[in-house]
Amino acid sequence: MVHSSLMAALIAVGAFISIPIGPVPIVMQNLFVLLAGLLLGGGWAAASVGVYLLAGACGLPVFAGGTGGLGRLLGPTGGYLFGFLAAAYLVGKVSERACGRPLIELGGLVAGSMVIYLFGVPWLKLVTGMDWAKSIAVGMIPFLIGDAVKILAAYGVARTLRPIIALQATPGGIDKAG
Amino acid sequence: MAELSIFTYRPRPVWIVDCDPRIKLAALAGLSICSLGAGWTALALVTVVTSILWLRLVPSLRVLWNQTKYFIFLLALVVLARGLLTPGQVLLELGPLDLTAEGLAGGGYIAWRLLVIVWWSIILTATTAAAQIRSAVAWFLRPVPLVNEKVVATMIGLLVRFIPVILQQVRETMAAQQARAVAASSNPFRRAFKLILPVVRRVFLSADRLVWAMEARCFTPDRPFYHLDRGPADWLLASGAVVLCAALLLS
Amino acid sequence: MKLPILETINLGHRFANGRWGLKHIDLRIDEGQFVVIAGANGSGKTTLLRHFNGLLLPTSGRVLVDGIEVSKDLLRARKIVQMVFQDTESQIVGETVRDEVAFGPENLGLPRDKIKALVDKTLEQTGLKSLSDTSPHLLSGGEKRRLTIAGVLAMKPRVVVLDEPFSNLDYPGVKMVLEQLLCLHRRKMTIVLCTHELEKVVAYAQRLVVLSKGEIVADGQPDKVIGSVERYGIHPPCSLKCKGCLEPWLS
Ligand SMILES: Nc1ncnc2c1ncn2[C@@H]1O[C@H](COP(=O)(O)OP(=O)(O)OP(=O)(O)O)[C@@H](O)[C@H]1O
Ligand SMILES: [Mg+2]
Repeated sequence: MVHSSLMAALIAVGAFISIPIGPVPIVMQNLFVLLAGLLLGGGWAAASVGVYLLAGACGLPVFAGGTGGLGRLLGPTGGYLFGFLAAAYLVGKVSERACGRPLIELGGLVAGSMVIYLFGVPWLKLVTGMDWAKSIAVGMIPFLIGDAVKILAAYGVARTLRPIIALQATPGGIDKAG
Repeated sequence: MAELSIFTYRPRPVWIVDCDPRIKLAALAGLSICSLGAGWTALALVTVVTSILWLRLVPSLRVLWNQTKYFIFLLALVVLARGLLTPGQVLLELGPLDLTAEGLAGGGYIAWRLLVIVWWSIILTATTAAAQIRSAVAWFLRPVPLVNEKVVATMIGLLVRFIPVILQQVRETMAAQQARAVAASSNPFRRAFKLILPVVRRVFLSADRLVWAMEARCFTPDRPFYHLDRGPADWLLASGAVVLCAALLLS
Repeated sequence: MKLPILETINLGHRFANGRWGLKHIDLRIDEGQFVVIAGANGSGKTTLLRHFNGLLLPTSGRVLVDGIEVSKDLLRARKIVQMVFQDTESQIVGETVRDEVAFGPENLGLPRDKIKALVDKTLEQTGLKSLSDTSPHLLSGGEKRRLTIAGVLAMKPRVVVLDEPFSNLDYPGVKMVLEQLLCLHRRKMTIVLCTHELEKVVAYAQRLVVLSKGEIVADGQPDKVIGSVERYGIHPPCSLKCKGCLEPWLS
């Protein structure tokens, strides 16, 4: 529960961390979504994205660039936000099953990244009225290189951190694991 | 790096501050949904009402602009895209594309609706403490199966608490790395990795310490919620919201 | 004979990696005492303190709080013994100063009006009243430390355990915390404080315990024990060298 909440906070902060590569700076938010999946497993990863979205929808100031609540979820980029939820769950479930086999985990990460567009692009198309080709050109193609970088970075970070996160139990028993 | 919204709840001497957060949330949800089907006149009416409310709360439009400029930029793109892609009466020829009146109107309508919804959310944020919102959310989640509302409320609390701490850590890590010229490396993967790893590691370590601290103060998820009760202001808000919803639906 | 409020009997703690953190600790602390535990970095101070409220359980020997073993009733031990952590940043759980102070009492399930009265009183006592709606993140180091102490006092403990309460504080910060502690001491609260900066507190303490490599190497009245501390990697107070006696730090 505590880990999951902190991952949610990282996802919120991720919208502000960017590193410039080439012309487009890449934003770290979806990296943290993938990382949540890798580190927490499906259920708790989805919970962390869910809590982030819920808090944002109710008007708590967690979305990038000011508050906005429900309007943000319905806005042009809302689809990506819902995509995060599905992606975190998918990546988490795959990595739970993968038992550390790198190819399967990487496959899960690629699938997770694509799922985000699966929600984001049609939504963008719906709101803006663009056709498919244009929606994909605007809402997906420019981000693909960044995604490749993020997938590798998320995988690397998860590999390094997993042993550290192996839990040190406390006698009281707060459900930290999530 | 931008600061996360600094514009948050502050006690303000306006009746809406004292309203039950549950009613506020319900009004927000109701209005947002109803406005999706609203016509122009109703939107105009709602906008006027909202502006009056806003100016009584925060006598400045500047804050509003600061809160929404990023979103307005997105919406401007929507209007433009619609304007260029909808067939109709041509206003302006831009290379292969034509800017049409119908497109602009359609885009403007969508953008306006979303902007009003965002505006309401900002009013909610401005008039309600985080703890109140948390309790209201938990109250609404109570009947939902498979969701433990107490856990959700605790998680939201931790989320809000930890955002500034993490931002601070990111800033420190970035500064330290600039000092050691890690940022100069041209390999983007390396850069992302070197930035994210220490931040996430620190966050997880602080999770450990946070658990110690919560346990030391006898944490149970069974904590009481923020005091929720209804007064006359709530009926005013509720009836106002219902009237507006009706207007939105009927137009 | 009166029952000691804290007692350890041949306490030993071995970490999961096989290292011994504490060995053969026998300690009896009577109610109302002000005890300073000194030791170099890594001597096991934090590890020892965590046994008093059951954040760690002994791997050998016993720890009793007010006559009952900690492991038998964790909640009771934590109600009696409250702890101020070495690292303030991650001890603070609440979203505002007020929430933070209310966190403990809410966990104890007290009625709402009682919590409110308690929180108000504690904020008043610690001089944080004017800050009650700010986010803890925005406080200065000294204010944060005072807030953690306030959060602990609101639990109405009989023993307060402080882990390095002076680290990172400037002179007014140290002074404020020290005055607060002396005030608690006058009200017969038991205080256990661990530090390696002896000069700030030792003149006020009734007892000094010196730890080295997980074992107690000296225990007694401060002016008797103080002569031997240098041997264990602790800097003796300057006044001892200059004037040959212990001088109160607050003037
Ligand atoms: N979980 C752990 N596993 C293994 N060793 C540990 C663990 N926690 C602490 N130690 C070791 O136990 C020893 C005592 O640690 P402790 O934190 O109690 O020291 P301390 O006296 O509080 O030091 P400081 O003055 O730095 O706070 C240290 O050498 C530390 O490395
Ligand atoms: Mg220590």
